Amino acid sequence: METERAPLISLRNVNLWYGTVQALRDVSVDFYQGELVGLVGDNGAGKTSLVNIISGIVAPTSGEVYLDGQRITSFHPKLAIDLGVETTQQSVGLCDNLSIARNYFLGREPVRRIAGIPFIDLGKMRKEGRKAITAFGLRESVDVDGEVALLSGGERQAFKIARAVYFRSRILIMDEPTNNLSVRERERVNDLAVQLKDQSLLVIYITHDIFQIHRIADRFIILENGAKVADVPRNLMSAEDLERIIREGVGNDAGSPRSG
Amino acid sequence: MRGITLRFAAIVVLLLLVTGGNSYAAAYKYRFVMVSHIGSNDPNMKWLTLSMAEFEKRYPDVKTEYVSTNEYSLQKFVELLRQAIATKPNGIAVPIVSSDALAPVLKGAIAQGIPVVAFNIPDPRPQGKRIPYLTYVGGDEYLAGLRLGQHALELAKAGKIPNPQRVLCAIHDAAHQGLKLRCKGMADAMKTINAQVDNLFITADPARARSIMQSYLTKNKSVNYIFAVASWSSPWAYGVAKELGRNPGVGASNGTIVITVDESPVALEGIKQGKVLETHSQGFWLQGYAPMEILYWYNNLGLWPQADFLTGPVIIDSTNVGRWVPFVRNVFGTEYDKQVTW
Amino acid sequence: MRAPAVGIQHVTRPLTRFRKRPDAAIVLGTILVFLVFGAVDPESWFQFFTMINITRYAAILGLLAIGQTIVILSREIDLSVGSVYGIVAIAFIASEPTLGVPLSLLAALMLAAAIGLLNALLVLRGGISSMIATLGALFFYRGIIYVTTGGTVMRFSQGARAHWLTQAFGGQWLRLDNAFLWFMLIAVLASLVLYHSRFGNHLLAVGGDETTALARGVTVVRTKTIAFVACSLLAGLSGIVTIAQNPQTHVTLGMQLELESIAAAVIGGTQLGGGRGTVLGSVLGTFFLTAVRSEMITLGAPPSWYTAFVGIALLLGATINTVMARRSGA
Repeated sequence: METERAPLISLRNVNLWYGTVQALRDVSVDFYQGELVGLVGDNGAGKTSLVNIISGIVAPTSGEVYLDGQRITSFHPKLAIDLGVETTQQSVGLCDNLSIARNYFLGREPVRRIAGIPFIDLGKMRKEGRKAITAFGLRESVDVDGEVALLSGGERQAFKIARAVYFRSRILIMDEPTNNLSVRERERVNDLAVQLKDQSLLVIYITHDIFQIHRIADRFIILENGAKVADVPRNLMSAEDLERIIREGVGNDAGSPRSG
Repeated sequence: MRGITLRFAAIVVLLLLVTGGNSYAAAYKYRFVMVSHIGSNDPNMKWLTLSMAEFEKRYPDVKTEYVSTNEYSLQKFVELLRQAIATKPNGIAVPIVSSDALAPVLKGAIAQGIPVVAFNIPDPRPQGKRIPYLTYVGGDEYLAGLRLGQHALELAKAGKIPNPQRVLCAIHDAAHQGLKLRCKGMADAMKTINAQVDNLFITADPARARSIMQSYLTKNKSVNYIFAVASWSSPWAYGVAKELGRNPGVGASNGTIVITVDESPVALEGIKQGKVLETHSQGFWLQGYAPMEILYWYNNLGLWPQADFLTGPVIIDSTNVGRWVPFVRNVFGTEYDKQVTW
Repeated sequence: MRAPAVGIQHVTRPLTRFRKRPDAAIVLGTILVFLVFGAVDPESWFQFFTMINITRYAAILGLLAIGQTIVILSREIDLSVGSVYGIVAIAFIASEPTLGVPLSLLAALMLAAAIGLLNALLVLRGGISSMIATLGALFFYRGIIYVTTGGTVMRFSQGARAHWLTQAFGGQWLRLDNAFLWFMLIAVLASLVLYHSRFGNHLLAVGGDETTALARGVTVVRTKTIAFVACSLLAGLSGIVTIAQNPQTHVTLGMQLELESIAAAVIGGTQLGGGRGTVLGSVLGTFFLTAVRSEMITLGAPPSWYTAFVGIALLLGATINTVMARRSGA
């Protein structure tokens, strides 16, 4: 890893409190363009809290967040999306009551003006939606006007990734993207994650499946009780070691390597 | 509700002013409380409060109190009644809004030696089974409908208005027994000439009520009398009949006759304008005054009426409306003109 | 990776597509009801006054139902519309002598918007469920009507009734009520906004899946606020239209209209769970309720029955809509 490069996102001494619960403790971490980072840790370790800050859903209680070296001061999903941050979560990202075409452009609907009045451009939405269905390997029988509730789990993930690509996102946060997927669908989603990295996106990949992420990630960040306990490139740690640290905690492994 | 608190405070202040410089305890010999279902949102409250003020003028040794709520809740009403009894007044006047709910409370008061007079709404059960209050002061809903019907028939016989073919009785509150009794009285009057009376639940919302009456009248072309059992719904009935080309009002030989109830400004002005045939009065003023008088006589001399004290009904039509208008204007003041929604 | 492929267009048959619509049942139901009534009772059904009567009340209820639909689509509910309808209409009458018709109309509509905004604030900032917040509003504004009017509503002066602006809402055009024309116009506008504007797409998304809408950058609070304000404004407009048409009124103005407006929306296929429903469905739901009630009265059903009928229609409509939604796989 070329540490001289400027990080795309940088968190400095970030703390996050939900009422009396501390979700993040003094976390400092950098993410770089063209990297696939595995964000791992046990349940409640703070993985989702960390990405929620990056995707603008919550503001940190204290600490600083930089994007492209610019300090971020206000946090809202809309701002994050405008800055090129996309999130795909298992349960979030698609409105079951809306058609595929409408979901594809949700929040960024193209507009066609008729007599100066802005109507959403349903024609364009359907055309682009159909392209995504073909290009990202959804079943050909999938109807762009049908509700997304009819999609399979893998198709949903692929569709969200297609959307991130279409809107030229720079950062893609994948939160447990392969839960409840068949083996084949899981492979497909992981292939897409690697392809996006190769297209020089930053991919932040949250998962419980250590062996799966070890095969595709460039670097791992391990969280424990809201604190960052390790930040290691893949070549410095085996999947077994990674799994052991998460299972036993960092206290039992004082000699674990850290990169800075 | 703030309005009622203010009004209540105003009444209290007024009473204090009336009693002047005398010390509060020595200011009166008796204290009578009227617990009423007619709240400050109902302009009819003034009939009662004004007549009670008149009573106080006549009997400076009596203090009267009027308590009411704007919430139409039986529970709230019983609560008010309990509170009034707890102050141990020398007499209570109360409408029997529900004989079941009020019986235990009132029996308790009577057992404590507090005399009770029912006003405006009686306990419908026969004497002996009903709550043992001294007497009932007020109208008779059935009789109101009956007399209004009989008077209309007299006028029809004299050829002054068309004969009733079929009568619509428009009820805005399906749960109100008194309103149904008014329709029943009208129906019994109409039975003598075999004219049918249909009860129609029109609801209280004006737009919906108009729509319902219009549906009914469109189908039932022989209906030429409309009995609106609340005076504020009589302009709606008139309006619908007019739109349907049914010639509402008094005077046309083929017209539709509108009859309503109460000596309210809208009813009186309707009669003056020839839009309403007749209305009635149940002596509302007396319903505030007479219970106080009865409680006074009972406290002083142990005397009370041995039968119910019916304060009406009397029929008001174009022949006597002129005498009623100044009287009612006096009660309503500037509100009078505002209430005329014709 | 972004293959420039022309996707194989999947053809859905029109019938299947129609069945999937949330308003499919009410479209058929309304057609059926109009045909049946025409066959059973042609003599009074095809009368001019029957049609005028149905369209007049449908216009009043329909404006409320459209507003209610917008709020329900956003996964909230507005129980205060009946009271708002009343208080806005009464504010219009009460301020007319001092402000004149145009200004009092404006003031009344501003009051409506302010009430909607307050409802939104209570729900979105105060964190009170819309069921509770607007139930409170229902009682509060009805109480305000009582306190401020002293139980009676003054009349709308003759001059004000004749004013061109009053006539624009309450008059007639080609024997049709202007109120009905307004209702149709607003129904079309609301449909366009819901299905062909960015706001509409956001509203449906917020109602369908608020977390997703937020994650996609939709400003949820703003969207819902607009829904509440629009609903209050339509309720107020409906009240003004009522007064412009028939100036004789009472403090009971609008009582229980909130329930009928919800019933019309639900019978029309709007799902209380949010995100699914159409303006067309609610418009037809309004016609359905109004027409059936009118016909029940003309057929001489017992006087208190149509209250029960609204309940039966609601349950039946909700059941049919749910079954149809399940069978079409939506």
